[in-house]
Parts: sequence; C-alpha cells; structure tokens
Amino acid sequence: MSGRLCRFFFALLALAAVSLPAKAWDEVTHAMISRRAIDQVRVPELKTFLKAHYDVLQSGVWFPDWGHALKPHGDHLHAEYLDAAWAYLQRPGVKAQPNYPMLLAHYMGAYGHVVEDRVLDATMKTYADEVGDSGRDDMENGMLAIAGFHRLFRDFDLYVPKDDLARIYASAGYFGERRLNNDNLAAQMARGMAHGEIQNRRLSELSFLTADWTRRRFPFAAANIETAPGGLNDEAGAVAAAWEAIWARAHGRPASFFVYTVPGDHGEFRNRDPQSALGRILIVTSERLDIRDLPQAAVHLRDGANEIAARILPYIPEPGHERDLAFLVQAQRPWQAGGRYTLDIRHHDSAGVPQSLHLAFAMPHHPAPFAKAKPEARPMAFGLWLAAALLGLAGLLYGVADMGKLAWAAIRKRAPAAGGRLYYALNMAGKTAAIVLVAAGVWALATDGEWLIEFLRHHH
Amino acid sequence: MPDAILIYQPLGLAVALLVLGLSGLWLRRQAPQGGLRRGALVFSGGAFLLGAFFLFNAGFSALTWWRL
Repeated sequence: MSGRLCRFFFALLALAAVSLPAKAWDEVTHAMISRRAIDQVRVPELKTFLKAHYDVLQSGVWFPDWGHALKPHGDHLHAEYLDAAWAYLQRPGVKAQPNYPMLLAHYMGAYGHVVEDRVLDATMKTYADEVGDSGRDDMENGMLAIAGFHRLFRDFDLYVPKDDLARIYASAGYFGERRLNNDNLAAQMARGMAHGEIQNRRLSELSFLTADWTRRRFPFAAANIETAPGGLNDEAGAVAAAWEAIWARAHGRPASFFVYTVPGDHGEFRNRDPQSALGRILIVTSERLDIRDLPQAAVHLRDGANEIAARILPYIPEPGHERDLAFLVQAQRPWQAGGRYTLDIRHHDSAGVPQSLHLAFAMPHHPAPFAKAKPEARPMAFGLWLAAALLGLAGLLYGVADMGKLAWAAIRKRAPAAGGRLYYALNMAGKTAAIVLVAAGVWALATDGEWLIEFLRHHH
Repeated sequence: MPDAILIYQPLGLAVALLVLGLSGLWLRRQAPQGGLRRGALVFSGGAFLLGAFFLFNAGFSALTWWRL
C-alpha cells in the first residue's frame, strides 16, 4: 500500500472511530452512573426533583468536560467551577429567577461528574496494576462500564443556561484571556459542545465494537467494575449521598459534609498494605475541603484504644488537588490481619458549622476474593467492522485499473484497447495492494482487530 | 458540525461509493474480455462493501445520539 493510500485509509478510520481524549470517565459513562445515583437517592422529594429535571441534570453532568474548552486548563478547575456556581446560586436575585430549580439541577449534575471522576481516579484507576489490569486507562474504564448496546443511547435533551454560565464565568475570573471573553463565550460554548458531542458518539461506536476485546484484556474490571472498591456502586452511592447534602444545604437544613467513604462504614480492606489503593480510606465531601487546613489533631485513626499515625493526602498525587471534593487517609503502618479500626475526623464546613465523621472498618484474615471474569465467546464485531473497510478498499484497488480502462473506452465510445504500460503498471500495483489488504482483512477477522486496538492504545 | 462530520460525511461517502459500484456494474456490461469484467465486478463489490462500512458508521452515530 502506498504512503498516500495508507494515510487515506487511516484517515478513514480516524473519521469513523478513534481520537478520544483522556478523561477520567467519558460522558456516556457519566450519564449512566448519574442515572444509577438517582435510584440510590433516599430523600423522596429530592428523587422527585431529580427525575422532574432529568434533562437538566444530565446536561450538568456533561457540562464539566465540554466546559473544559472554556476554562483555563487543569482538572482541578472542574471543582473550582462548582464553588463559583454555588456562590452564584446563593444570590437572592438568582434564587428568585424562574429557572433557579434548573440551575440547581445543573449544578448537581456538574457536582456528580466531578465526584465520579474523583472516586475513579483514587480507586480503580490507581489499583489497576496490582489487580492484574495493567494498562487499563480512562477509555477502557468507560468501555467496560457502558459495554452493552442498550446503554449507548442519549436519553436527554441538552439544556445550557448560557446567560447564567456567562455570569458564573465572569465571577469566577475565567474571562480576561483573549480566547475567552464575554464577546466570544457563545461561540466558544458552541465549539466546546460540538467537540464533546463528536467524542461521545465516537466513543459509543468504539465501545460497541470493542467492548468484548476490552473485557478479555482487562478481566478484573470486566468482572468487578460494579462492586469493586470505587466501582460503579460506590460511584453512584457517593453522588447520591452528596446530592442529598447539597439538597439539604440549598433548603437551609443541616447538611452532611463528609458524605461517603471507601471502604464504607463497617467495611473491610482488601490489602494490608496502606500504600495500596486497596488499603487506604477515600473520603468524599459535599463541598471542597483544603486538606492543608485540616489539622493532624482533627484526625484520629485508632486500633482499639491505640492511636495510629495517619497521613492526609490528596485523592491523587498531583498538584492542585489539595483543595478538592475527596481526600485520602493513609495509615503509617500495615493493617493487622483480624484488626478492627476506627477513624474519627472533626472539622467544620465553609459556614463554620462543626462536622464529624465516624467510621469503623476491619482488616479480615482472608479478604473477600474478587470475582473472576467469565470466558468470553470469540467476538467478531470489531474484526468485521475493520474487515469491511479493508476488503472494500481491496476490491476498489483490485479493479481500479480495469475500471479506468472501461471508463475511458466508454467515453471514447470504442471497445477497450489492449493494455499499455500505464494500464499494466496500475493493474499490477492495484492487485498487489489488494492482495495485501485482503490478507490484512482476514487477519482482522481472525484476531478481531486486536492489533489495531493495541496500536491505537499505544500511539494515541 | 457533529452531524456534518459524523453523519453527513460518511453518508455522502456511502452514496458516492454506491454510485461507483453501480457504475462498475454498468461498465462491466461493456467489457468484452474476462479480466476486465472480473476487475469491474470486484471493484463494484469493494465499493458496495466500503459503502456499507460508511453507512454503518453514519447510522450508528445518528442512532446513538438522537434522543430515542
């Protein structure tokens, strides 16, 4: 295959499916987790509210990632936006707006998105290597979560409170750069949403085609993504608990600050090593907490009556996440098999209201085993998709010289002449390339296109 | 823009390939000799297959994003 042809072919593939950005979860997965979170909400009036504003909520869930295009970059800004949006929602004028319930639902959606990212990053992504899913990254997590055709459909109409977002952005100080100001905000929003929509649709198709490969390649997540620490159940539970706290705060009622932990109260660790992501405690909060403001004396990790030294860490070891919606507590010595522990944290929320967390957990002698992946039937979806492109292109190349000759004869209204040098050269080149492409197509069918998936994973 | 890139472009390619495939079948009827006829037939088959590939991509994109 010539270089130009090769580039053309890969451009076709890129057009069809690839080029996905690195994110914690993709938007299709965010939407699915948020649907689960609604089911886990325990406050009836809140559940009714969320269902009544489902489209707005899911629009908010989607917002942080397409909103990336609008903000100075950095994932921690996902959470910074939430501060600005919450402050905006507290303005009396905004509370009196007819669309205030929609703005609140939009905020809850954006909040859910950020928490879903935090829980995944601190747990399943971090311990992927130690459970045998080496190399599992954002794209594969999403594919495993949404694998299944019925989860790929969009089920909401997009709601974008443009004027309110403009005011939130202005108050957050996002304006001022040349690429983002009040004059070009509308255009930038349209661009960001369009880009995000393209990514979502590509991911849906790629997921549909390669989900079975992903299950084989990452057997731990394939079997445990629902129930593993930080898996889909924890994700939805954390978001639901946080929504309940936000709902209470929005209505002037006492609200929990520490809303969810992994492991949960009376839960168990899976690893004695506190350096492992399966041996640490993840705590999710309903508003941002700067762990540098959390004094060591406020945190008590105990083995019965004995105090155990503990460190407070950002949910991921990257700068900028000290003030966020989640943090980690890490013991300074290994957990003892059969040991029972408690964690107590006392702090206050942003309004100065005292808040506390009490958590009891254990390190069993024999941690509960994770589920094992079931053997997958040999799938053909991606192989067929790829083979259709390769074999189709092979057919075109095989006959292109003959077609040229026939077309030229038809134009001249004569019978096709005997082959000249050009015809001979084109014919040989086309048929040789076709044979190579047929071989590649058969190989794609036999391997389900695995070589291309691996190529894209390593080079994208 | 997303519809243009993910639906109309592959749909346009699929239609163009369908026309190419039909042209191949028509030209095949003009061919006197076996080699040219076979070449045109394989060309048409390839065009239809590649067209189906793009049609699938356009259809999937439309199906998964339009609210159902």
